[in-house]
Amino acid sequence: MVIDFTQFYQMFFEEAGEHLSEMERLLLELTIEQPDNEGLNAVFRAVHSIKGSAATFGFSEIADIAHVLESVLDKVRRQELALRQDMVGVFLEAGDVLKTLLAARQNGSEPASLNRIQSITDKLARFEHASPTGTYIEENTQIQTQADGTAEAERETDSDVYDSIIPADSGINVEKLELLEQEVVYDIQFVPRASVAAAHGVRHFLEDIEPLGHVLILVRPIDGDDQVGWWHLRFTTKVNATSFTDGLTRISAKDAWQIQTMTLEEAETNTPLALEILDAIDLAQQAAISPAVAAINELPIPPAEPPTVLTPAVDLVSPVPTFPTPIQAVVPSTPENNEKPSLVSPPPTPIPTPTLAPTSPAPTTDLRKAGATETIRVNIEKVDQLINLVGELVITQSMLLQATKNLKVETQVQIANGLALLERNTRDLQESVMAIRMVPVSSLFSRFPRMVRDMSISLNKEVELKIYGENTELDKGVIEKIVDPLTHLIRNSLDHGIETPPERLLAGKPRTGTIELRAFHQGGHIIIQVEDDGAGINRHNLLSKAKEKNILLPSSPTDHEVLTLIFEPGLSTAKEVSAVSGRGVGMDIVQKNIQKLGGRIDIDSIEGERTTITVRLPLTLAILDGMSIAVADQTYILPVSFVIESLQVDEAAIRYLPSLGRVVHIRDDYLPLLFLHELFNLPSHLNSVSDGIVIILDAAGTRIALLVDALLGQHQVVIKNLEENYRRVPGVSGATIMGDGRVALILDAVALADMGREIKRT
Amino acid sequence: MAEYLTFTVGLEEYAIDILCVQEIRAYEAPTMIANTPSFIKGVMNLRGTIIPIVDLRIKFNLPKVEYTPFTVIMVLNIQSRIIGVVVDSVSDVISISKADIKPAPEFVSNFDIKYIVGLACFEERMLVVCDIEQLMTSAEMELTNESAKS
Repeated sequence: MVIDFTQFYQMFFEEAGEHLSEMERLLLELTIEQPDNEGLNAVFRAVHSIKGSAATFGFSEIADIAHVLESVLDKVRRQELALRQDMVGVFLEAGDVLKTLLAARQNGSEPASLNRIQSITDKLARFEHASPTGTYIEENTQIQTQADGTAEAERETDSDVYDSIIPADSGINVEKLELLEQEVVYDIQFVPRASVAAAHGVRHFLEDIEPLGHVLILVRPIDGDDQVGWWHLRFTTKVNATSFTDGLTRISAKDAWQIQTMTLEEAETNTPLALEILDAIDLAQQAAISPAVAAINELPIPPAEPPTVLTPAVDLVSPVPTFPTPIQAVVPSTPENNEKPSLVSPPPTPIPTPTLAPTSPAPTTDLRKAGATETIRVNIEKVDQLINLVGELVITQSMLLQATKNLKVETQVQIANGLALLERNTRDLQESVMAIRMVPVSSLFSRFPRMVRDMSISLNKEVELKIYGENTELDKGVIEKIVDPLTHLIRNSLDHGIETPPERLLAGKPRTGTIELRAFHQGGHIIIQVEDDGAGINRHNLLSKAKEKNILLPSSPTDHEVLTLIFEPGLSTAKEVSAVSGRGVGMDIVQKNIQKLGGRIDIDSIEGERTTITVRLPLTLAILDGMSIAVADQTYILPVSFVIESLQVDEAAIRYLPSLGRVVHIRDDYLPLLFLHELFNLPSHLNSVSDGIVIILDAAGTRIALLVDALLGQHQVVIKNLEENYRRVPGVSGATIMGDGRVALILDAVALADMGREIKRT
Repeated sequence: MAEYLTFTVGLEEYAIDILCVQEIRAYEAPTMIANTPSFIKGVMNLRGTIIPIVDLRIKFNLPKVEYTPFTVIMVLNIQSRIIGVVVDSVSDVISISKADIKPAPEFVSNFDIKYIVGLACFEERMLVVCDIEQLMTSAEMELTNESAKS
């Protein structure tokens, strides 16, 4: 059967990507000295899932790395290897390599850089072969450590699902096949490992031995072959038992298996009886059947299994009255009939390994079920289409509302009631549709622990990153666009903010610096804050820099005015250019990008104590809080995020300076004054400046004053793209549709300021 | 045979490929856009999509441009962009075979010759068959970001 896997590729890439970032997050959370067991297990599971699905899709290079990584992780979680800092580094590196390989597969290019694969595999293998610190080593891992390290050998002796995923790698060693003179019956009992069971390892084992003879299943777990439970088989064959014992050891939990050999006649007399009776036996009572199996049941494998009945071995001789026959039938308690030692030496009390401890993780499938909320993957285009439609609905709704204003009073009341209801419904609908695009900022924040870790190592600093409010939701589009600015801010904090440990100790601060990353809602906006307890910003430095660059400042600037200098282009206070920052892409770009999103950035700092940078963002890109303004006979929308204040000014407050053009004197400031009707070549209805309204705008750090005819009101507007059918328009960032169905252009304060500068020049 | 939509601009009658035409609407004043050529009347809301409106009469330098109840906007779909074009009136849909379209002599129309496919006679009327796609995507129309740069 050939299945076209390509249709599942996308799902695999998405899932593997998620597993990788999950792994990265978990690794960074681990405390090296005392790794938390749950965390290690979760890392292991993530790698394991990647390995499993990569192997399924035939992405062998991914599966191979994941496999080696998994083996090391397995040892760590079994406490056979002590976790070290450099190990975590290599694990993270392996994650990076996997990411690159995934990307290569996704883009359809053949995975390049074999060197990188080889080097990471070597590094991992070195850990794996390092002398284990644990006291107990499982048989199969021992084999693995002794193996010469080739992938072949590892696969052969792999203790986990690897072989069950690739059936070709079966447990049957053809070379070992030894045929007996006549058919015998092997009575096989075992309990599979949870991970093997989940990957249908048992089924693969059965498929492997099936061609060699006849398999009769007497007992199997009730819930299917992917469940952990007791298996009892009769295998009629001519092959020697050694040919499948390897396979059996691989799939079963430690020592949880046994093989007995019997003649055909014995089997004949026992089988029907066994079947008949076993059907009637309660699962819990199965434990009583043999001491070996009883010992197995001591290990709490299936979480939902009823309490185990531990039956002492004596019961075999004088069985419990409820099922006297099966015990004698199934397990002939004397070995004299057998040509070989029948019991493959199960130790009397197997030591439960840490993995099988009561807190051991459920198989991955269970984990997914346990997820708190269910999610579906939807193409973003579908969501956007839905959002557009709802936007339409909102517009139609307000058009109707306006239309009814001209109706007779009696009819108006009725219609108005209906429309009020419609308005509420559409708003609810709009909100819930917009919520689809909302994703928790954790998807954004999750990349930073790694970045901070890597950077603090390269800068020789000790930094702790604290993250708060990562469940705050933000529009997916905003999240994508805020990544770079936020990365920049955190880099700044690390590079310029946090001091080196000696400097910190000298300043009487704790050795380890702290960067806090917060997200929270505030009045229809989301606030993202980056705060560090570093050196703060030096006022003198900034002022002298500003003087160098001829940046105009009030005679006695306030702290805030000085601090906002940091957003001026070309003003970096970094003492030296490092690999991390100071390369000229400064805070001005950050501010520009945030303003493009309709957001604002603000800075606060106390020298020697801390620096806080606050970014205010709209919840969504599709809707904007706008002020409608009138100029001539046109209506424009000005995003509220640009507006500082609006006021009426006297003609007398206006000066014409040859160097700056027209400025307006407002309180202590002289601000460049632009006339919107001049910028847009419109006939103004104003006789004098005092008839209009002056709006003070924050255009990427520079404040400008804009004269308009009148303020009309404030609206939430749905942003429409002008470039879809037309082109960019100077001074305009987009368009929207007003309640009357007409188009209104949305102004861009930064672009208006630029236009003002152009006019001044000409 | 291909189907053409005919329309008038001033005294001339034009024909364009019907497949470019998405719909025909009555004229309504669009929202003006500052600092654009006069033939770009502005932008309009077409069921939630914002489309530019071009007045061909201004583009063709007609002496008299009036907006009457018969003034129409032809909504064209050209290279998956939607453009509204204002003309004096729309006449009808006709079929013309390729062979009936004769090469145009120069200086026949307000059009630059490169946007004219040819001339065709239909029921005693002379039609200027034009390549509307070429015209609308040309730099001189300033309808795209690329053309705005030049």
